[in-house]
Amino acid sequence: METTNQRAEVDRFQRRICFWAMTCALVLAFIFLFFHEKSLAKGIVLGTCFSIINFFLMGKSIYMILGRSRAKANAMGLMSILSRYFFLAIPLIIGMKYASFNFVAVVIGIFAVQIVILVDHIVVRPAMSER
Amino acid sequence: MPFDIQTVVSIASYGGAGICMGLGAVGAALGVGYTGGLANKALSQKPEASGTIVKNMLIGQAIAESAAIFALVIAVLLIYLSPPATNLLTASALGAAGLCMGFGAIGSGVGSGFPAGEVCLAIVRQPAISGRLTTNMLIGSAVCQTPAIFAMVVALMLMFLNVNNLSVNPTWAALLGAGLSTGLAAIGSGLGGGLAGGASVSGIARQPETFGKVTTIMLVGQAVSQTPAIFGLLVSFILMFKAFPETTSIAAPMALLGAGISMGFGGIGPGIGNGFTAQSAVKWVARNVEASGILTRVMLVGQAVSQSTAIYAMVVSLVLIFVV
Amino acid sequence: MAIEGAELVKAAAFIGAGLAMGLGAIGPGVGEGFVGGKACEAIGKKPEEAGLLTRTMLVAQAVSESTGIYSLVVALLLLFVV
Repeated sequence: METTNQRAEVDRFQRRICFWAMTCALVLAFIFLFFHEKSLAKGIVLGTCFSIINFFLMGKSIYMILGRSRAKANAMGLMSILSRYFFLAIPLIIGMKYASFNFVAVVIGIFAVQIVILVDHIVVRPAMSER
Repeated sequence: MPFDIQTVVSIASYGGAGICMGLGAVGAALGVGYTGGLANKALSQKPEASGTIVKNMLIGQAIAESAAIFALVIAVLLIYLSPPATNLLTASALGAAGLCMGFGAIGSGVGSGFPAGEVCLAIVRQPAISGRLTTNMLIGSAVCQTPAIFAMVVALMLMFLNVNNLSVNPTWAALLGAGLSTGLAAIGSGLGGGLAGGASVSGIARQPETFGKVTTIMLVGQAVSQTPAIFGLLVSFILMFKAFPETTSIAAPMALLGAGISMGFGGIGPGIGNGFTAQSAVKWVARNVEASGILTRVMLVGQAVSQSTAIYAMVVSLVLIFVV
Repeated sequence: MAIEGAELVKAAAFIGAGLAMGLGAIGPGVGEGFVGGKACEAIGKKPEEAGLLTRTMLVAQAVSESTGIYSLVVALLLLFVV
């Protein structure tokens, strides 16, 4: 069983999604900076960073759990869920506490990975396969 | 022990945040767990395709989880917003926002787990068209998120509504009813949309050449399944934006609360029922594509009839709001 | 604010109407949807019997609708008679 190959495919997919999410966030941030909307730019980059961390941990935790005993796997699964939600709450709390981060931009940034996945598979892929 | 208004508002917002995140996590957990279970089944049947299966599982789980992230956003807002409270209506509005988002996330979380799980099994059957299957699953899961988005819109409106000039006595119940109406009605619609999406993914795996027709009937079925949530949204808007005269009686607030409960619970059943109808119709369009015209018509008739109970519930809540 | 007995009865009647219609709508909604689904399945297997199957589906749905109508009647009674 070539697990390393299969694992590389998942890693490649995750890296591609994260790369595009970060690129889109940075481009948006530069556009906002151009219009002197500093809090919007900072918020969207902050949200996207944590969205990527969440998605990355989601993929990693699967391989950490694989092959453990049942009790250990249960404990690690619970830990992964708790830690991921904890991570996602951090940017939201920062966005509420500090006025220099726009809260709405943080919320949009948190959904960056989901938005990129949807756009990638519904708009980009079918258009590419038709050509 | 004396209570001042700020204390009551804090109690309502912290309690609302807890309910919101607690209930919101239930749905996403069930959906993600269903996806993981079917992914395990798929992996045991075809270990050599583990990369594609795990990739699709991750995509599906990321989408199914977004309902819980909506709830997280609302919960954090409820904890840290702490608006300046002048009357007890703020407490009622914040509690209702928590209830609305918490209940509203359940259906979408469970529902978007169905297509995400089916896609793992579908890839075992048809590895060649995995890209198409992923696209179809994403469309289905994204439509499932709509009821949760309705609930989030209502929750945000409840939080930022200006309640300073409103009459306290009947309006507290109106705000609570507005939250319950959309939140509960969204459960059925989310689940129903998920059933249709799951059937569509497994149907395309059976007959890949029916991709276009199956996707179309899935979208029609899901759109009709959303109707109870839209009725709930309508009743919520009426309850939030209608001005109620000040009264000292207890009957008027109970009528408004009853309107919200009626529409909320009344939306659950028709939503799930429409989902069942759409599920079977999608499944059999994929197997017998020549009958797709008659199947679409029969599906719409069946869904319209099962919609009628949601319409009764809406009539009762409108009577409770406007006549009584 | 003193709550009188008649007030309390009216309040209970309103909330009861809401509960009656709300909970009463769950069962018929799911049941009719299930009937519709089974009818679609049967038409998928035998499209030439579509007319008969559609009629049967409508009759079955009308029967399971009756509990929804009972709860509507009870709700309206609670609203206007009590």
